[in-house]
Amino acid sequence: MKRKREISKSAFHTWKKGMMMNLMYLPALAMMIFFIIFPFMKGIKVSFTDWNGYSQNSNWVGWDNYVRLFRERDMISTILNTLIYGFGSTILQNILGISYALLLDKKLRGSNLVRTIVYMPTMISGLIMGYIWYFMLNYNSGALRDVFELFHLAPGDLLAKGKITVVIIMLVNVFAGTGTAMIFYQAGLQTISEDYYEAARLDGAGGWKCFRKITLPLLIPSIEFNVVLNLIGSFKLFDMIKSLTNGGPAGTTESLATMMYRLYFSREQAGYASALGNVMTVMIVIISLTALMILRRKEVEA
Amino acid sequence: MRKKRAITSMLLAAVLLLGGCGNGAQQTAEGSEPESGAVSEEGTVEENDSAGKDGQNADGKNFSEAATVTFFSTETDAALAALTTLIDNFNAENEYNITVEISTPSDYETLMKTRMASNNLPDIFGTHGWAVRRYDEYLYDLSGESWAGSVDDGIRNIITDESGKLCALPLGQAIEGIQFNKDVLDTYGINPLELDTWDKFVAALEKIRDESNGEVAPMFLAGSEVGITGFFTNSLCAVNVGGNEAAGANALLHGEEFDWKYVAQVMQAYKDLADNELFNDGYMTAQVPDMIEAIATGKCAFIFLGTQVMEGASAANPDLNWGFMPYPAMSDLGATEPAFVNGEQGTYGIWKDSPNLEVARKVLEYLAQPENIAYYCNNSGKPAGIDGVELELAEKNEYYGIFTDVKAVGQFDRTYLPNGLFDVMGDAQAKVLMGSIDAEEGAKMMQEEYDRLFGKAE
Repeated sequence: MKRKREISKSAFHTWKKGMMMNLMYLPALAMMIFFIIFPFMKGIKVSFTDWNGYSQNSNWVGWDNYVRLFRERDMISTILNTLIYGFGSTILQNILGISYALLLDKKLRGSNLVRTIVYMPTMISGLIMGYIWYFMLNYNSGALRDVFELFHLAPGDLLAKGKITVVIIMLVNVFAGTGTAMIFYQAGLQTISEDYYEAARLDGAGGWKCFRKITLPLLIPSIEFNVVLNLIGSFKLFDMIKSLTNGGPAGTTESLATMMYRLYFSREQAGYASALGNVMTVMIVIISLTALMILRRKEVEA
Repeated sequence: MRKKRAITSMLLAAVLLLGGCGNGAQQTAEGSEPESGAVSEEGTVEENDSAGKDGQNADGKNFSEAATVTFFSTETDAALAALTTLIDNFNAENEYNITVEISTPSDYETLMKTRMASNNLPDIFGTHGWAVRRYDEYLYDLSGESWAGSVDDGIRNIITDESGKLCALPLGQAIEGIQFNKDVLDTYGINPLELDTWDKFVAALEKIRDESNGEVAPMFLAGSEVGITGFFTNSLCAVNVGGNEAAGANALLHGEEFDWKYVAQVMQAYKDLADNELFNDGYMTAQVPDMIEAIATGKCAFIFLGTQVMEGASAANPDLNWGFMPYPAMSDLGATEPAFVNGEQGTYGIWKDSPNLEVARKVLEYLAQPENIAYYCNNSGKPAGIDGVELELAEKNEYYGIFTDVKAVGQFDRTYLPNGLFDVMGDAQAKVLMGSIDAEEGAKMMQEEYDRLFGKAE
């Protein structure tokens, strides 16, 4: 009898401990449900209606909104822009991030200062960063125009050059995000033991070989993390575009996110915008998972 | 355990999916009952509404309990100051124990759309041109009010919906044309009273371009905003397509045959302005603050914006000498009369499900009194929305008194087009200006969207 009570007592303790753990993540779960899962489900429902975003009534239209996406005039250009924002930002941010991390890994004088300076743009919100660069790039009164005139260059209105402007916005995004990448890679570099480098140097390996055979493979987890996060964030790029060019002129720098905003609030087609949002989600999921799988395969046991 | 977790998460997802579907029905039920103690954004709190309900007898006479009315407005500067003074007077003087809390939230339209979606609107709110087109579903019928008969005819059509419901009280109205910097015009010897046709107007623009050596932009366009490009097209179309018998725009109201070439020609007219360098440099990416600065400092001559913006600019720059004129007629399209564009300016409606309905009606009744209308209009520089009000606007700016015989037409998209077409119009015009498509293609873009929306509405 005594044994049974003892067993049940310890079982109760385990159960209690388990329940306490469950209570700990309930707030986070609740936030996820209310702010992510529930709106997402609602968004799927809305995408099958012609709701205008503010009426109390709406009609069921089935797959109409999704079919319209294929016929939307600017869709190809906007998807291309989004791909440039997404892939361009990710590639450049990661290359620059690794480079800065490697450069500043050695305890040189001033490396802390440089690190701080590189990280500072990250602390500014995307919207403000866009406005800062608007004041530099705009044609009428921009700071850069005066610099160009000093060198007798006349590149014209940099914010109205179609795909070139898209690349410029992408570069501003890179400027804003490299600091974060640098910090993560620096953390990643710390996990690589010095012994590997010593052994390699003893075998006569040079700097570049060390990088390719030791640093890079052991950094794969950090690269995975950064690349996936950057892809997701850059594909959703919105605030910087809004403040720099507002998707214009004539929708030439629009991303899927700014297009969705315009469809919802300016064109008053909430159902259509929701359909676009859902398609965007699927696209981002597919691209990020693909990137993750490719990088996972390159993972090496330390 | 894994299987258990999988089942639990699937159940959770299913519940949420059903919850998402079921909420639609719930919302309509909620909509018919007023919410109590609802908290609105921007820190304006609706107090306990049971007090207001006491005032809602059939004869609406029992107002002994204190009631708070939320009042949302889009006004700024002098107009807001005038309105606030009137509201403060009302709060102090009224014998019904009513307190009106006025607020001017930023991003008004987005906020209002969100509130409409959740069926939780302020008691009184400004309709800023969208009384019939957007807010109609949520507005209380004011056609039975004591002042309803005195609403000025010019604005009456704009704020009355198809069923005859009067949607809002027009304190003022907008009579919009082209604004200009008087000093710049004097420098180049241009008389705005002579510019009654489009050709004469363009000639004046060319004169400024030629004689100013790039110092002064004849016309300023803030092309980065689709709303501004659209506004330019909209206004010229209102006068030269809507107000032009030859174009037959009434066909658009009934989905009948309409020749979109008229719209194409308006779009082409802008393209020609751009090609002939009659706009500011960098017109495709300039923003509205640049526009206002340019006209206030004399760096441009003409803009299409609004008298309210100019009133604000002249408050900031007391030296600014500005005026306005009607939009010229484009004889190529067969239009003969220049015209202003009529619209809402300082219009306020009541939420039909407001718990403070009777109380809100009293507030509007107070504002509709002639002396209050006069105070508001004189201080904000707007023509009155109510008949029989004597104003002193001409003393403020001589141009209010000059073009009194010029006709006013309704804004093109609000009068003739289904909802949602304005964005397409702005987008199409921007693309035409950029040169990505030609004007016919631009008009076709609008036509396609019109057909789609009209097909749906019918």
